[in-house]
Amino acid sequence: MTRFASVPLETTQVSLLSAVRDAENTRAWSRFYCLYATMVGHFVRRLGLPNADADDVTQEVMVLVHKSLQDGVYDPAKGRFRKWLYGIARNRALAALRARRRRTRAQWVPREGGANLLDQLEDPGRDEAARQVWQQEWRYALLEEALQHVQAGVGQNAFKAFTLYAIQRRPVQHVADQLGISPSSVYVYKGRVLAAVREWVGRFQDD
Amino acid sequence: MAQSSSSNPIDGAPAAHSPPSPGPAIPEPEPTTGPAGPGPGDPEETQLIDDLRVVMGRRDQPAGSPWPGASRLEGTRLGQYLVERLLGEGGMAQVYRAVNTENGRAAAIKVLKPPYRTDRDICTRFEREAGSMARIRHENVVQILGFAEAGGIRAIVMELMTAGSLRRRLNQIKSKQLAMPIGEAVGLIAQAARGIGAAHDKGIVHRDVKPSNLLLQADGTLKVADFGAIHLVEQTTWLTGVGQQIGTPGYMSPEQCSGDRVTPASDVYSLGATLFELITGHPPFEVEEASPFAIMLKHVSEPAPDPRMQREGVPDWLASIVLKSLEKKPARRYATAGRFAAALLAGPAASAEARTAARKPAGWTTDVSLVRKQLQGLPHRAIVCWACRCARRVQYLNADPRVERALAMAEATAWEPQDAGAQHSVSRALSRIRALRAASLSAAYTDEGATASKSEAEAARSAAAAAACAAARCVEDAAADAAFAARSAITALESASQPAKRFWEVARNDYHRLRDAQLGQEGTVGRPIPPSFFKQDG
Repeated sequence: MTRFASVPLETTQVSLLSAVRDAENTRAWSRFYCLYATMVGHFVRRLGLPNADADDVTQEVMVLVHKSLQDGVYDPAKGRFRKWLYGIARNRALAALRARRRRTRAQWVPREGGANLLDQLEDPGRDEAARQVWQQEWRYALLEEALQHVQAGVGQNAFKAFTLYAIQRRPVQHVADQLGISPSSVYVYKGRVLAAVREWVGRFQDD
Repeated sequence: MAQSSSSNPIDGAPAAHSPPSPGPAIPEPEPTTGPAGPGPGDPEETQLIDDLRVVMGRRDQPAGSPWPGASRLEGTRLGQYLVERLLGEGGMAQVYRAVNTENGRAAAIKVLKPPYRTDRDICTRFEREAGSMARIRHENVVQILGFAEAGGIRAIVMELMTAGSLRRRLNQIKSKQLAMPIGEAVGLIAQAARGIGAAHDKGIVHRDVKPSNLLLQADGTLKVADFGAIHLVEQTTWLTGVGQQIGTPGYMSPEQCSGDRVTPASDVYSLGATLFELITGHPPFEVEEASPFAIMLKHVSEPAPDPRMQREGVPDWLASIVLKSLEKKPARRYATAGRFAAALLAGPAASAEARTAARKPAGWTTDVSLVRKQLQGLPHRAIVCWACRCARRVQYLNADPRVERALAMAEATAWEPQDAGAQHSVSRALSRIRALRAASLSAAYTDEGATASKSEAEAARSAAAAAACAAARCVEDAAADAAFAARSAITALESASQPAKRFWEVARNDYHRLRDAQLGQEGTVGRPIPPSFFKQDG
C-alpha cells in the first residue's frame, strides 16, 4: 500500500481541505479522494443502493465536491466539511433511491434496512439513522487511515501478530508459534498497535 | 458477524478464516457489553477491535481506486495516474485527461466503458490493439506510454494531444464559412499519411482513418490515433447484434463497405476521402438524409467526384492524386500510405504518375449483370453466403435480432444443403417477422417446389433471397438501401431456375411498393434505381 506514503501524515483534515482547494495539488486530492470516496461509497451502499448505482452516486458526489472545492462553493465558515458532505451524499443517494424505486415499482426489494432508511431520509427531521451510519463510516475511514499509519510505524511482525491475534482471533500460542515469538510478545504487540491507533484517531477526532 | 459470543480467542478460531466481508450494506450492530476480545474486558477496546475488524475486512476493496462499475472516473486513481476530466467518448471507450503523479506530466488515458470492462474477449483485443500501436514509433503516430490498472479497470496511457482533432478544426473552419488553404490541407494529410505509412511498414492497417482520429498539437503537428478501433467494433457488433457503433461511413473504402479484405490501400482511400473533405469542405459522398447504407453504396458503386468541380483553384496534380486514392479497385490506388505521402510531398511532379490511371465514364460501375456473371461460376453455397453477406450488411446498420436469427439459419443452411428441414426452418423463422410475412411465405412456397424437384441449389438460393429480402425490408426507411438488398435478392434469384423465380416476382413487387410508398411520402431518397436492374428474362 503506497497510497499515503508520499503524503505527510501530520496533515490534518483541515489543512488537507485547503490543500485540495489548490487545483495543482494532485497529491492532496488523491489522498482526499481515498478517504472520502471510500467513505461515501460505503455510506450510500448502507443506505440501500445496489453496487452499480452506488458507484455512480459516489462518483457524482466526488465530482461535485471536487468542483465545489475548486470554485469555492463550500465555505468552511458555514459549517463543518463533513456535515456539508453528508448533505450532498444523502441527497444524491436519496435521488438515486427514488429513481430506483420508480424503476422497479412493485419489485422493490430493499437491502437490509434500506426501506426504513429511505423513509427516514425523506423526512429531513428524522434522518437520525442515516446520520449514525455516516458517523460510523467516518470512524471507519479514520481507523483505516490510522491502520495505514500504524502498520508502517510498528513494524511488520508486530502488525501481523495483532492481525492474527486480535482481528482474526487465532489462539495466542498458535500466533506465537507462527511468528516465532513468545506469547507475551503477542500481547505486547497487540497493546502497542491498539495504543498507536487510539493515539492517531485521538488527534483527528475533534478536528 | 462475530461480535460477542466468540470473544474467547480459542473458541473464536473458526472465524479466523472468514473475516467480516467487505459487504458494505451491513449495518453494524451496537457493541455488546461484557468481556470481549483477547485481553482486558474493556468495552472501549472491544468496540475498537470490532471496528478495526470491519475496516480490515473491507480492505480487499482497495480505496482510492475506482469501483469497477463506475461510468465516470474523474478524481480516481489508475495506478500512478490521477484522472482529471473526460476528453471524449466513443461507442466502447472513453478518453480522459490524466496526470502522472510521479512526474506531474499530463497524459491521455483510454478505458473501456463499464459493460465492456468485464468482457475478457474485448479486454484482450483492447490490449492487443494497443500493443500493436505501441510497436509503431513515428512522429505522426500518437505514442503509447504504457498501461495502468486499478480496481479491475485497465487503461491505455497515451501522449496527450493538446489542440483537438482535425474534425474540430474542420468544424471551426466550416462555421466561419471558410475553406482550408490547399497548402495546409496537403501538409496535414501528408503528415497523416506518413504516420499511417509507418504502420503499414509494420503490417498494421488502421481501418478507421477519419478526421476525428487525426489529432493536432498546438504547433501544427498531426498524429494518428485510434488504431484498430473499428476492428474492435466490427467484431463485437456481429456478436452483439448492435450496429449503431459504426459511426459515419463517410470515409470507408469500397472493400470495407462490402466486407472484403482490408489492405493498406483501404487506408489510402480513407486518407483520400479525408483530403477531399479538407479541400472541398465535405466528404466525397453525401446524401441528403444521411443513411449510412446509402453512403456505403455510393462508395462501392459511384465514381468519386472531381474536387476541381467543387472548389476553384485546386491544382490538377492534386486532383489526380485525390482521384487516384479514391479509385474503387485497391490495386489502382497507391499501394501504401507511404507512397501516397510521397506523391503529396512531391507535388506537381507526381501528377504524371497519377494521370496514368484512366478514368472510367461516370455511371454505375457495379452492374448487376457483372455480379451475375461472377456468381455463375460459384457453387450455390457460395451464392447463399454472398446473399447473406449482402443482407448482413444491411442488418449491420439496422440491427434486428429476429433478422439476425434468420440470417444465421440461412447461413447454416448454406453449409448443410442436404437438410431440407433446415431450409424450411429458415423460411419459418422469416415468417415470424411480421413485416416479412408475405415475402417469406412465398419463400416457403418456393422451398416446397424446390424440395419436390430435389434441387437443393434452388432451395438454398431461395433461402438466400429470403434473407436478403428480409434485410431489405428492415431498412424500409431508406429506398437506396432497400434497393441494394433487393438487388442482391434479385441477382441471387436470376441465377436460379423457375420455381425460385416466383419468389423473385414477389420480391420485386414488394420492392416497387416499398419504393412507391417512399417516394409518395418523402420524395426521392438517394439515387433512383436504373430500370435495368429489374429487367426480367422470359
